Amino acid sequence: MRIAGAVACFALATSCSRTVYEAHFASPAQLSKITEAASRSPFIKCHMADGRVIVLEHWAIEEGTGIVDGFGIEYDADRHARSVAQHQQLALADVVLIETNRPYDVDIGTGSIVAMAIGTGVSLAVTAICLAPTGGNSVNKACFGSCPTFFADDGRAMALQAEGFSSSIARSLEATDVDAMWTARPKSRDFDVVMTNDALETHVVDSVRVLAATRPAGGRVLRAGGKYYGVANMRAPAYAVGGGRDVTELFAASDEREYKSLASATNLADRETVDVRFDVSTATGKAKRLGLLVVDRNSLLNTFLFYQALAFMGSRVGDWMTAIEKSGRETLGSVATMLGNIEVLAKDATGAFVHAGEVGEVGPIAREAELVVLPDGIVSLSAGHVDVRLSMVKGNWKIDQLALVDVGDALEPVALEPLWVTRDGKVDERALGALLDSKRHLVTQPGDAYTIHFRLPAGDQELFLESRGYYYEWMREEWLKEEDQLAALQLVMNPSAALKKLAPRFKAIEPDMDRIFWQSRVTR
Amino acid sequence: MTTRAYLFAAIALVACGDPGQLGRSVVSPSDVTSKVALDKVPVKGAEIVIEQRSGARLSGELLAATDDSMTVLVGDSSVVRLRSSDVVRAIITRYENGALIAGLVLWSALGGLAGISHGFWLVVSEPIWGGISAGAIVPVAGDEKRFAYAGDRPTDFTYLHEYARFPQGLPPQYAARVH
Repeated sequence: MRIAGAVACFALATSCSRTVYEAHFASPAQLSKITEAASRSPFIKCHMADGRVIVLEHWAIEEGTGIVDGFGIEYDADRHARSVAQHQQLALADVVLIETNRPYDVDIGTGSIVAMAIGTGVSLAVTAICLAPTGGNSVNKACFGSCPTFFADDGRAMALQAEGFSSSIARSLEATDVDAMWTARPKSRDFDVVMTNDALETHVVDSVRVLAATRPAGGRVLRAGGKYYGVANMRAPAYAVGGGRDVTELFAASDEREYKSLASATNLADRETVDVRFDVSTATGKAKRLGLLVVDRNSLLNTFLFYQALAFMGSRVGDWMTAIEKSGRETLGSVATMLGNIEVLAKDATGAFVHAGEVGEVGPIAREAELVVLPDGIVSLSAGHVDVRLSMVKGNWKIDQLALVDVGDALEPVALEPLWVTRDGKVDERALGALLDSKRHLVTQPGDAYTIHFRLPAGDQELFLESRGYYYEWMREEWLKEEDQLAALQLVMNPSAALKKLAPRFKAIEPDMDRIFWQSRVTR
Repeated sequence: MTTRAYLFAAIALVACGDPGQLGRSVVSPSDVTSKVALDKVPVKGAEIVIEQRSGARLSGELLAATDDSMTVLVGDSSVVRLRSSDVVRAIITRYENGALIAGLVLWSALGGLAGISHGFWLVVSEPIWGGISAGAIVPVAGDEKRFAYAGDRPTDFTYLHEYARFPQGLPPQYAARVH
């Protein structure tokens, strides 16, 4: 900012006006041609045959006498002054050429500087939106954090499909993550996945593979934990109630219209429930089991908590990361446990809601499609409908689609290794080698993008993205202002109290978090 | 970064390549006459950069110019005469804007880099900033210089003598030094 200000000052100091000269030329014989110009000119130059020039002001030419009279300076051909300014008189006949000189100032650069100043002002305003404190919070915890993001063709363009190993925030937390590429629509068996680093993070990627499973006719393949099932006969909810309102339409399809509630103002661990009813009158009756498809992603609540934890750790974040490296997931696991997954409950024949399973993929960017298989015997079809309840932390999830599906046979997807990798349009053998060699990692920095090429099996394939690695979030200078080792310790040791204490701080920025988050994405 | 580099290179090229036309003998757009001290009235020729057909470039003070030749003082003492037919282009410096142009280019570059902080909106803000920068720099650079382009049109050099130290023609003592 100081440099920009200095440049602006420099530009202003060197701008504004320059003096130029309106000049007209005539020989003494053609003097009448420049009479009008001469009358406006405070100076004339009398050019002599030997190269001298006499510059005159307060001058007059007496054509009758052939005398040029004025007050001026005579210069020799080398332009050394031969006299001080004094009264001069010379014969017009000795002058070869008369030149009038009228100086005037031209404005230079003022308009340019004003235009650039306005542009800079707008630019600073945009920057301020992203970086400046919001909602009374002195630290912006909403800036983009993404882990590796993966894009693939959805039939129209390269679309976001997955974000990898979001919870692997240190080397010891390196993990394998599988995400459904729910909207991927390969045009051929040659399939490209673009992996990007869009955040202020260092990504350390061990491997990227595509898991392909042949879809059943008219159906899809869904992942339930570590198992894969063919599913068919998707049914949208007959009705759904969440937050005291009818939200049926929000769950009808994966159309980016999401259900999201606001976090509690007093305790970020407060939970909510969403009740959903499915009509099963159209069920085929052939299905052995029913399942619930959930397409969802995180809100920015856990991103806020993660960044807040880093802010509290402040200058000692290195010590904390070392502790995390040594102790593993348990160090921060308690906070994650309190936020938890989306619990799916199903109403049994007695009318009680019983636990059926959980879904929950960490990450606020890409939507994940997961399956909860409803256990046999829990769901009564006799009433013609199935009731399920979702239980989750308020404001922690965005749910795009819910569907009841017939669950078919378990499937085993085929794991596909990358065939080649390109970066900036050039084949990158080093990157490919790192992804294929389990002892090496591909390290990426903000703005990096790699295109990873796969060859798909024949047939209609359901695709999943399997990625393994870990990442380190970059500390922001602004975060250091909030260093508070006791608060960091409380977040780890007593997350229940910390989530209550941090609730007002999160609520202050919650309305603006999404906007700021997406604006702060590092783009290529 | 590459895109920005190309943008600024393009701006610089445009700025240097289209400095405007000659024409000193026109009535100024302003009716206001500035006050200038007598001893500040310039008595030397304008700085000129000459691009020759051979590809060579020559710069110095324009001493004299006719329809078929121009004479330049190169350095302190070397007087060089070039035939107009050997000249592709002659660029006159009316006044120095180099510092201002450098400042604006630096400002533009810093603004471009600062655009990174716009995140996603960078795709919108960078082209706009590029347009503002180009619109700000090009006129300043273009106004600084005037050029005469010969090519097959030697009459373009008609007004060049008006920027010479000796618009009346080279005096004998300088004519003797021509080489």
